[in-house]
Amino acid sequence: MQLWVWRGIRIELPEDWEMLQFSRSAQAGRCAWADRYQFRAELSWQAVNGPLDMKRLASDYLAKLRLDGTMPDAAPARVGDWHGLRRHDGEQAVSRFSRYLALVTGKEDRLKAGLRTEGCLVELVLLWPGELETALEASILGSVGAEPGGAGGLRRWRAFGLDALASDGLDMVECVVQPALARLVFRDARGTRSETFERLGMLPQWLHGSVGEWLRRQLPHDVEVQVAQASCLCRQAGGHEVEVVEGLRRGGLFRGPTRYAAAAWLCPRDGRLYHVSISGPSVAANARQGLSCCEGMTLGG
Amino acid sequence: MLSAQPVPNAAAETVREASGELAVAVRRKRPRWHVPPLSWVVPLKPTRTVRLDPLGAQVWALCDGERTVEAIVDAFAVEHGLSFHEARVAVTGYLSQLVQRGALAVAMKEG
Repeated sequence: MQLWVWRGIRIELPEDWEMLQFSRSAQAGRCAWADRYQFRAELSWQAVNGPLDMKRLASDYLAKLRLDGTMPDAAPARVGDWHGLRRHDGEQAVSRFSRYLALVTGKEDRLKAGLRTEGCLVELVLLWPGELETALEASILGSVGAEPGGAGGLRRWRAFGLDALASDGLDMVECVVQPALARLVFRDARGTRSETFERLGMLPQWLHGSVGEWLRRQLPHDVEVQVAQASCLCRQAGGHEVEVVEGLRRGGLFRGPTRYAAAAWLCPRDGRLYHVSISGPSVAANARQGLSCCEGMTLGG
Repeated sequence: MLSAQPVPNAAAETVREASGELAVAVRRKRPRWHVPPLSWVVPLKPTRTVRLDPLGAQVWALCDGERTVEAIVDAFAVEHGLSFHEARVAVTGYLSQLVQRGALAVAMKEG
């Protein structure tokens, strides 16, 4: 099973299910995963102002379906805290469950959504070509939960091979997923702090030179390099050779200089290039700690 | 779609160019209007050439008329260390270009 963490919600899904659709909104959105043949799971969320009576919501929904006659074979089901129904749709079985989830969202997200509490209504729809796999269904439902916030208000995101810690109060402004490229960009409302996490593949096709040279080419034009630490072997990071650049970004007419830190390395396990860059008034000394590629590379450590 | 078999156009000719690109030349059908005296003043190339970068050339080489799209995606994914969906996006992109330009046809299984 593979762990995904998106918008503070964690879920474990089979290894071959990949996220093909996603929403960036904190208030309401959905993510959908597919195996190689069809969509298999859809997780949707809606921010709410406190716990809901899920039992009543589920029974009302089922009664409405029966009244409409749209899903006459829908059978009520309950798995742990999840209330829902199971039914057959042509040749496939469908499980539809929902529950209230107390989220550990950032304060900024809550304020933006006008919420007093930190919770959301989560709905999970699973599609089963052929027979419904009850054990897998229970395992997936049991894995859904709120991802605890990290030290210093850091929030974890784990998707597309990236396992990243983004600062609280930053919005995800960009999520690019292409063959051999996954990029998550977070920025605050004023644009003073930005954090970028990248995972790049197919290196023989485009990486001509060392990782350090590549990292220097990624520097914004206004960065004055202060520390360029090449080939710093981090033994505690599973033998990953991390290239680090730290510098100062020149200020503008109405803004002072800001700090810049970036790190890049090749993961020997999957052969991909990982890159993290942070710029803002205060930047942690080790930008590498915000991104992990495998078990050998501790997140935040 | 994944069970479809891309079949190269039998009339296509491939040439490896000096730049490393693979050129696939496909004979084009002469348009009905291309007759004398118009054909004397409007020259038309008898072939249409598709130039493939090294990745496109790999996909072309995998299209042997036997492999399915799924098998091609799997082979491409293994070759480049990509996930199935990453490789699927890249491979189907190349395949659709090749089909549009007449270099490939796609055979679908019945049923």
